[in-house]
Amino acid sequence: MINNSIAIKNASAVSSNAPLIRTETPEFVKLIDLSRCTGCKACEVACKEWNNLPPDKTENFGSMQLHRSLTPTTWTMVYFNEAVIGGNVQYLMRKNGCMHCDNPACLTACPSPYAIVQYENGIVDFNQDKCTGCQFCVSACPFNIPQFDGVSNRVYKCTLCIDRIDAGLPPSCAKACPTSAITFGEKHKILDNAKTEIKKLVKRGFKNAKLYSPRGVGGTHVMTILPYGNNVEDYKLPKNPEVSPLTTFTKGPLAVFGGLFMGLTTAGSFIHLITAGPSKVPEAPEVSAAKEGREEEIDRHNLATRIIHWTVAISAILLIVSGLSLYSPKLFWLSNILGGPQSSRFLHPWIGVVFLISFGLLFIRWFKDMVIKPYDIDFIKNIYSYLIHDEKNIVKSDKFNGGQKLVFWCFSAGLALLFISGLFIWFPGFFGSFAGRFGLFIHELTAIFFISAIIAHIYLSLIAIPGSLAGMITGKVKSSWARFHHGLWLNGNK
Amino acid sequence: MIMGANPAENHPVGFRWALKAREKKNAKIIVIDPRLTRTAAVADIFVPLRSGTDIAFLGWLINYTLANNLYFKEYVINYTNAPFLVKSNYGFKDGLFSGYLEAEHRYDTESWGFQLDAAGNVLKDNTLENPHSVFQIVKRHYSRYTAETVSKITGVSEEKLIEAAKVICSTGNPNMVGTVMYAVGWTQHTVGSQNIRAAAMLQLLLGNIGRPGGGINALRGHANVQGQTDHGLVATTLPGYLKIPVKTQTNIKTYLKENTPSKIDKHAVNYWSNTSKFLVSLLKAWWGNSATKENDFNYEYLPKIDSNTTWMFAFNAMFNGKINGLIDFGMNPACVGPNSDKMLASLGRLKWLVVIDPFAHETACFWKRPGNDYDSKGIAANSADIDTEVFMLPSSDWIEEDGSFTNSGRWVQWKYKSYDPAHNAKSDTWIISNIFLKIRKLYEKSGGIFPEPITKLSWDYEDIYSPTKEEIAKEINGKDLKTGKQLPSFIVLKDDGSTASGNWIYSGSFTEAGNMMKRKKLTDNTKMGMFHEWSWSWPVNRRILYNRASADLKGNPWNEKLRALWWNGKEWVGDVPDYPPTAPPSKEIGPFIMTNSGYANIFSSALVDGPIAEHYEPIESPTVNILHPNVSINPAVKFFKDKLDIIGKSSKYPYVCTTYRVAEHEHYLTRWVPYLVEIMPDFFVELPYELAKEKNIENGGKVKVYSARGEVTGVAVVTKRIEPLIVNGKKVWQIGIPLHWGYEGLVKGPLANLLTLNVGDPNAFTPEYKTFLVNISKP
Repeated sequence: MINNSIAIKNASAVSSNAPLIRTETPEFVKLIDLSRCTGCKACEVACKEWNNLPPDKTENFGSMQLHRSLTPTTWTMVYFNEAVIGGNVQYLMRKNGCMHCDNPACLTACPSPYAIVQYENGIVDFNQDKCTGCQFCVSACPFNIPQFDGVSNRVYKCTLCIDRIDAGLPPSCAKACPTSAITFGEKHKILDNAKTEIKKLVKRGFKNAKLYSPRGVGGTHVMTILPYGNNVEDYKLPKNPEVSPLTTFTKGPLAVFGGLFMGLTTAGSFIHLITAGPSKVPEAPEVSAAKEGREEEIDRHNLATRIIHWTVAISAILLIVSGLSLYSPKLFWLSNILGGPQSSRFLHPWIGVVFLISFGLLFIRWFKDMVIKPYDIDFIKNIYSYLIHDEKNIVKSDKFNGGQKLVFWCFSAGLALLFISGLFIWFPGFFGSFAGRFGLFIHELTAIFFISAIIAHIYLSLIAIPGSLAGMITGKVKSSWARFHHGLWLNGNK
Repeated sequence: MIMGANPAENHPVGFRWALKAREKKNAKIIVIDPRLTRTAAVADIFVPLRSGTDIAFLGWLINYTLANNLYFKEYVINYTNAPFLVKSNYGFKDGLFSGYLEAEHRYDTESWGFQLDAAGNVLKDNTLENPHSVFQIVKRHYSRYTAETVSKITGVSEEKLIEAAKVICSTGNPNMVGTVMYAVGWTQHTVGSQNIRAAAMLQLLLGNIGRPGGGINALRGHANVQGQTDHGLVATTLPGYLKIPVKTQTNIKTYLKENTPSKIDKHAVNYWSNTSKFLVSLLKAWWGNSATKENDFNYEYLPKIDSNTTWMFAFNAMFNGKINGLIDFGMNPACVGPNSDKMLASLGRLKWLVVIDPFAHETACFWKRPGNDYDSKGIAANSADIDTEVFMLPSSDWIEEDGSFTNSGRWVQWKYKSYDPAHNAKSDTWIISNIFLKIRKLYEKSGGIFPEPITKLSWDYEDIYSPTKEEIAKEINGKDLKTGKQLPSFIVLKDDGSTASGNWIYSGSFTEAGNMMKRKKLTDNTKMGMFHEWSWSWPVNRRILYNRASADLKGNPWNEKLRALWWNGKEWVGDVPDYPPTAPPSKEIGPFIMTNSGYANIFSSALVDGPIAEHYEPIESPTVNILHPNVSINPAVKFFKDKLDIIGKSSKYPYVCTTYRVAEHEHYLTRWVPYLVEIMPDFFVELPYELAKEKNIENGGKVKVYSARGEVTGVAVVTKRIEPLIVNGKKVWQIGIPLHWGYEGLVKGPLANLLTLNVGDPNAFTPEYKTFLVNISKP
């Protein structure tokens, strides 16, 4: 909520550096000392009151803990657990909320520029106006913090009361806490206090008291003193949270690889165009013989097939456009094509459903014709000859040549992968964070190959093999074209 | 030591000071409770114990203290009545103290008095060796509370008993102080008053009373219940803890004679000897100019009681058709009262009921109570059979009022109105004034049998229909009727009618200098956290009662770091002294100025069921009293004899049940607050893990709990925090039930009090909500 862009240290999906010119601003830390927490939930209520959040409908499932997890309208909550430690039953309570990591996984995963910002004081905040609702952050967060709201299609979490901090006030939860279990202040001062408190805890008999501020996320700006430091999981905390390698790989090396691969495919097509050029079908003897009359046209694709194919094609283009916008910050501008980032992200999975259904229909129509025959394998062995238009060595194909059939099956498999991984990305709350991260990785990897294949397919059908487009628009092809490219199919038709 | 209380949940802001004591002074926090509560979760030591066996545990501590010579000897000899010689006909045998009148079920307390000389002064033995001395009597009595016996009674292991005693009983010396924090976990028993007496005895033996960080801290339950009891909104007192007159005290002379103690020791200040000044000033405040010396200051206008008028007795009278109407002001009897079936039936026997409250709660629509088989119990089954005319007067909430809250430390802090009451709700004072003025007008118009107490009542405000809190506070403080000036304190009160004060202990709260309760200065001259200029405390802004006991006979603090009041050679400094600041220590004025001896009463005849505490079993108990099986329960307890007054047996109801509150709710009224409903929506039952397994009840599933009186069903919270206890050789299970639910509000649930019994302490008549027997089953 701070309106001061100069305070931003780091931000999501920026294609250049964040505007951090001043580096001497102090960092702040919120410290939660669990040895003083009595689980009263004043922090929960104070957070709701300050942020004017509505109450959730809850029910007792057998605990003093009344939320199973955070929600879009519950940004902090108390976990309760009974654990046997040192032979005695310990009643453990922990205030759960955003850890405000120094290396926030959510920020790394987010595809929308400045939707997630990290301020110089350490607070990680969401700018919901820029949130596309993609939930990449939900999958990336090792603490399961960001919560997605299906009505507004945005994610929400603790803001560490950035608006109060700006005004020189403590966070609402810290102010309300009756036992001062929650304190807030300048980082080094708080760290000193924490050290002192931990020493006292050790003296009191809590031999393993520790400060929880995990290295795997670069340390956090919300730190917790755990009296039983060796029993991290009893506090319902992950033992070794980290920014998942899947997340960093997807945003880093995979993005670079994808760019290169798709670029190479495009370049390759261009090089083919200026070297081998489009294929030339020799003129039909009947036409050159008779000076009149048209060459016979053969029905290749009926109306239904064409409509389905174009539905597939258009939805694929829209998917590529919207998908690429989330894939790289440099391509985020593509999200405007489908009506803006939120609209584009929202429509992408639904267009995916259209794509799935329409390609499914196409699959039903074509799979028999796409069965790979021995001559298709020969065709593929001689693909180079086909590309350089070496007529003598081109193998005769039936309705679809070996390359087309190969591409068809690859598309089918790719689509299956895209759809299943897409479901994981779409519903990380249902499938879990790991599925969400892994799904994103598979989805992008598959898409890179898929898009490259489509670039090749478009080049071949639009430019390199003249006559193909006409076949998919009018449904008819010249017999000479058919004789040249799909001789076996022509014979079958005669 | 926290016992019979759960301050982390129910006094969270006050509890921060316990944590600060640990933080700053390495204090140890010990919690003794049937359940591992949220307080126990942050304590240093937790002792699980059977509900209703607190005196056994405290008796063990007293035994441990005396047997190991851990008592603060100099303090005990010089400031308590330990050296006093008790009458030779005092005795205790087989569970009964001397003087028990079997037929009447009560004690004649004559033998619990002290031996006096001819001049009326008590005889003492400062060597503490005389067998008739309080000290030796107490030592003999509690020598029976051995670790083995107490372990059998309470279910606490002998190791834990010793571990706890080592810490708690270590404060009996100048260098250490310990405090006791308690709440209704102690008072809501048939031995409730004696629970607190036992703690008082222990704290006196350890020398912890009157010292900073010591004392016995009753954690008052509601925001201003301390103010409530201070101002006499109790069945048995007038404002300032003056006793309410009884029928036989027909004139002021008799009343004063029977209520003004005479001193039994030359060191005694015996401050209650000023009772006449407090009473007369109160009468002048109430009846103004019409109260004169000639008419005993209208003493005859005071209502006098001829029977027990405390809660259970009042509702019992209501049940039996003896009460026509009830004005229910800011409380919820349908939920609060024990044995809900009888409570709800009682309300149905009224001719009229006026409910004055911000919410139309369960009492305001008591006829909506869930249907039970009332026919067999002889009370109206359908709401159509109820003839009560019910009026609902919506009133303001506490946030919508100015005024003061008196906290557990007696600090009377002024508070400010945050906003206006909603809709048609009116301020409490507006409602009282309008009712009063209407009634007064009716009396003035058509007379009556005895209208003068109403018609002559002084009601002198700028707007008589809506007096301000300031005006009322000034009246309470009192003024000099000759000069018209506000009184500086109760020291200047007179019994000749020249002073008026609505409550003598609050005299000094609103002086000529202004409203002392509004002060917010953070000066702390004593450096002991007294903050004398923050608000005002009664009495006379004293922060620690009996602070004289924090210093030795010479006036030097027992420990320089733990000083409250000390003699600097010329005067007493630090906290506010109990007598003139220049009275030197050599005068040996007794520190305990309110007693008739000046010494603290380890042994006292003030309570009706014993001069010292003895363990009696709860009315519904899983075991006989192993100390004296023939006198298992408190012999002074009274029982009601109606059809609904049922007591259950352990053969049918094997489990001990206790009731309590949770952090998320304030009694019954926060089920109207959405955020609080969110963090605690449903009625639940805390079940021990092994018991739930035995009965095949799942965590989060439903469980039915039933007693001899009723049944409730709720969500099962299966927990490892309630262990089984071995009591008298048998495994005893305890079950916990929170009480916040009722049949109105944003979320509804059953009344916990359907299970509880209407039998109570014979002194305060507080019902035994905290321990009774139940059985459980899958619903």
